Amino acid sequence: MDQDEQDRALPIANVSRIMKQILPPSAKISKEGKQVMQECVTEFISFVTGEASDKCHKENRKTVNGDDICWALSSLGFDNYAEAIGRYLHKYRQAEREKINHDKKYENPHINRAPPPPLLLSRVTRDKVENPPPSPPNQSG
Amino acid sequence: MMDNVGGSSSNIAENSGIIREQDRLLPIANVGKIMKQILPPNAKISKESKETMQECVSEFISFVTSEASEKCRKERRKTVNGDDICWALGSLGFDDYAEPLRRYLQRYREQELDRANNPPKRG
Repeated sequence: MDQDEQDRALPIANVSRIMKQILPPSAKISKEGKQVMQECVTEFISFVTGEASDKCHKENRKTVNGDDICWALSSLGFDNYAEAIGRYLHKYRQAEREKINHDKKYENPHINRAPPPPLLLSRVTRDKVENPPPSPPNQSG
Repeated sequence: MMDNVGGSSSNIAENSGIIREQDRLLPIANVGKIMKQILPPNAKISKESKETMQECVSEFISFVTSEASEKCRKERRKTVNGDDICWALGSLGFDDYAEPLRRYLQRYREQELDRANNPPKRG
């Protein structure tokens, strides 16, 4: 694997699998289609994280948390994502509390937390895209 | 983890089937690594934050892919390609993403041509 591909960091097989889950059974994805999505998603993560980091910096905090990610999404114009992620966080924290209570009751640290249900944002958001999101970060260097 | 739940007689639709978390999301280590690259050296990322980003990114992939798929369906094509992804980004309002990715696609194709013209030596 060449250095360029290593720098992308996100495994193309995982990206491809997520793409396939939303496509009809007969559809195919070209290799270049997968790689474009790989690049795009990496950029998206950097974009949102950069915004969250600015907020932490201004508030003199060192740790980026889930609320910062939600705030960043809203700040960058991804309001529908922010709402859905906010609901996800609520369920996430409930699940964590239940896990703690359950572990205390049975003293079994190996019990796995059930994952929260997947978001169904795609179906909602595609009908609501009115305000385009702002620019991705400027490429440095 | 079992993928099928309930009796064999009940026909669970494909869309309502349980998708394992490891199949539904991108690996948290990779997501965390990319997040770290943009943060100052002394910053930390909570586990909750990484998991939040995991969800968000998977949703983003589905969102863009769905738009690209619709275009392919209308044009009666079976294969989603790089241009379809770029078009979908523009269609959904991510214009500033679409432009850099078109440039990426161009360089990608030039690189593929180079590779085809100069196959790597074996042995």
